[in-house]
Amino acid sequence: MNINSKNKFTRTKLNFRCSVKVVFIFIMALTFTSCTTNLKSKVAGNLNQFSKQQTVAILPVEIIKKDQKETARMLRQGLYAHLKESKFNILERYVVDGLLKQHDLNNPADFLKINPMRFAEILGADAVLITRVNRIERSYLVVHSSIEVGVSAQLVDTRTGEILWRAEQTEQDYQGLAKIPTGISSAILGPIQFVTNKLNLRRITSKLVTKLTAIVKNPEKAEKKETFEKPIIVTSTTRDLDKIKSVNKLETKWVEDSAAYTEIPHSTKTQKKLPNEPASIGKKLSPKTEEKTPKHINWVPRKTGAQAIEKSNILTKAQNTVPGQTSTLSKPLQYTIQVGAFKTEANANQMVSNLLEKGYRAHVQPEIKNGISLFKVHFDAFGSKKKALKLAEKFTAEENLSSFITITNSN
Amino acid sequence: MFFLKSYVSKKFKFAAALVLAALIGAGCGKVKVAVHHEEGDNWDYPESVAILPFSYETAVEENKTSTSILRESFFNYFSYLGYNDIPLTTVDLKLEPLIKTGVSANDISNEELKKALGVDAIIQGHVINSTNLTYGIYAETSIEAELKMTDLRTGELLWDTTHTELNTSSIVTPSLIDMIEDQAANSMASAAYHRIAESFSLKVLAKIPDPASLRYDKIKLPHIESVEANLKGNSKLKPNDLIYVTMKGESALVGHFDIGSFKTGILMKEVSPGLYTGSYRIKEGDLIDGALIITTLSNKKGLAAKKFYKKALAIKKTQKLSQKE
Repeated sequence: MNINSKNKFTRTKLNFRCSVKVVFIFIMALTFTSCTTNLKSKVAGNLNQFSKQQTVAILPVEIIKKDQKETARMLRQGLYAHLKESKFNILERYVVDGLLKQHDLNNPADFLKINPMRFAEILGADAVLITRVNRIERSYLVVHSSIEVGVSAQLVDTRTGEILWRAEQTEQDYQGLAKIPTGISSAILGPIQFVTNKLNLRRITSKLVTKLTAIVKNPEKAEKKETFEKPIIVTSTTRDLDKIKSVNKLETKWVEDSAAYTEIPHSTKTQKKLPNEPASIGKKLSPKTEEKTPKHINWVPRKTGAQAIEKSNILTKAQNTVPGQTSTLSKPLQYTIQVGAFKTEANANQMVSNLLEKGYRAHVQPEIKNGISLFKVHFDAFGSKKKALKLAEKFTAEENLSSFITITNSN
Repeated sequence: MFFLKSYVSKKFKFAAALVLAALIGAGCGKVKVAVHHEEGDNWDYPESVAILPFSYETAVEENKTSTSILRESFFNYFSYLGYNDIPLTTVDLKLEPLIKTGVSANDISNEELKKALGVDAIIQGHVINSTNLTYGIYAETSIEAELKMTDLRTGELLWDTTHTELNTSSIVTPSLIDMIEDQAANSMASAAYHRIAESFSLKVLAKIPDPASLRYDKIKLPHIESVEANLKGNSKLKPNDLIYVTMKGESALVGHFDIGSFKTGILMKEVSPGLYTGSYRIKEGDLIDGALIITTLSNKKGLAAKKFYKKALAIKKTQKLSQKE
């Protein structure tokens, strides 16, 4: 063998080795990229504090199209199985579904709009997992077919509304020429079999759930880039907490304002009992005669409710004796419910707008006494005191705000 | 030309047959679960179920690994159905005194099991055979097992099944890449058994009667009537202040309260029937600002009711304010 042929042989050998390496790298690259995953997942730092005793409810999965029903079921079943391995206590599915049904919450599309605090009271859960199947796409192009499943998930703390985990994932797999078919028939039949076999969708969903839940099962392993920079609270909770805060603020303000003018007491010694009025009601509604008189105000005590009623009664009787005469005093008594009295009109208006939002027919009743303005918040008007009382009691129970009955037709 | 056509046709038929064989071999076998009781609205379904430790054919060494994996996987997926499943660790703990005497879980009488576990039904499993082979161009993982569910209240066999779940990968796999992937995946025995156990469980569970829909209307959470706390709107809390919470509700249950999600599970004491009280003293550094008080009342079935105290939020006094005062 001469030198030239020896060199040629060595070159061929090197080329062959190089080709084998390239093919190997190509196959390995294809192997690792054949099934693609696009996962965006972030957890809150508080997820670590979520202890073992805390209960998570996995809510029914939202679907966009009817044909996603089966995948939604598989996804939820997979979530149950995988999160059983987490440190949470998973609320049984039949309990979740049964309680949701009892509260007419049958549409998973509404779950994101509901304040998680409501879920806490309905389900008794510390957190809820809200999921959605975003898309299921099957494509077939003779020698290539693919299946793509996209889902999103959100775990929310029902006590604070904080998002503990948020993820969006797309899992895709395909069959076709790029996977190097083992024969001509495999090249043609493979893609058909892949796209029509239900097992492949199940396999992809199963893979998806495994990857999706990995971070929730071990939140302590989450890297910095997988953790929220600051706590994120869902809008519905922020809105409701703001409402509670503003009601608290108004209530405090009202207590301060009311204290400056008069105390709304529960009993009195000097108060005369109204005719046909139960003793307990009389006690509850009649204002105290001992009033606080702030030194900076030129104070003239206002009429007590019962005194006003008595006087009005007398006047009405007197007016009725004069036939044909019309006056506001001759009109039958109108009772209303007072829920606040403010020195500043803005505070009264704010309370009115809050009450209007809740469906109460509230309005501001301004009054000037000795040159000092007082803005009372009233709602509704009744011919019967009994009716007014009933609603006032209901209002106090539902809204946690004090209220009392007063007369509205005095000018 | 005719020869070529005939050759292609023969090759095509052969390949089609191979693909079909691969499909069958890839674990497409259907599960047959024999249900021995009548389903329907009048079904007196068992509420609580314990999955006993599965037994296995000791002659097959592989069975030892696959048995525990199958039991765990079956338990995880079983929780989706409308039964109250007892955690496996609890079952094992309760059975420990009985098994210690040298008896296998399957040999314990129904009466003894009922007494020890306090459940309505049990699921027993026996792994007959399991394989995990990887031979370069051929890979196989399989589990063959029999499962049955018995009603301990009546001794009645509710359902039983014997199923083989098989997953193979060979030259008949449609693509080279899939073949390499399958071979690599199959070589990790534990993961391969997990996958096959999952597939086994899903198929069997799809055929098991599920009483979930029969239970929907019967679920009743404990009743909480009212919650009170010593918090007032806008009142500021400082270290050493005491948050005092009272809850009125069903008697003889377990009560606790949370301050947002910062401080959870603060136990409440039932001071008189249906009246629960608890307290928490604020510490320096407690993150309670803007948190709501939430009370929880739990019963023995593990159901819990929650109620928020919405009259006020816990608001912490800022450093400046506390210094001023």
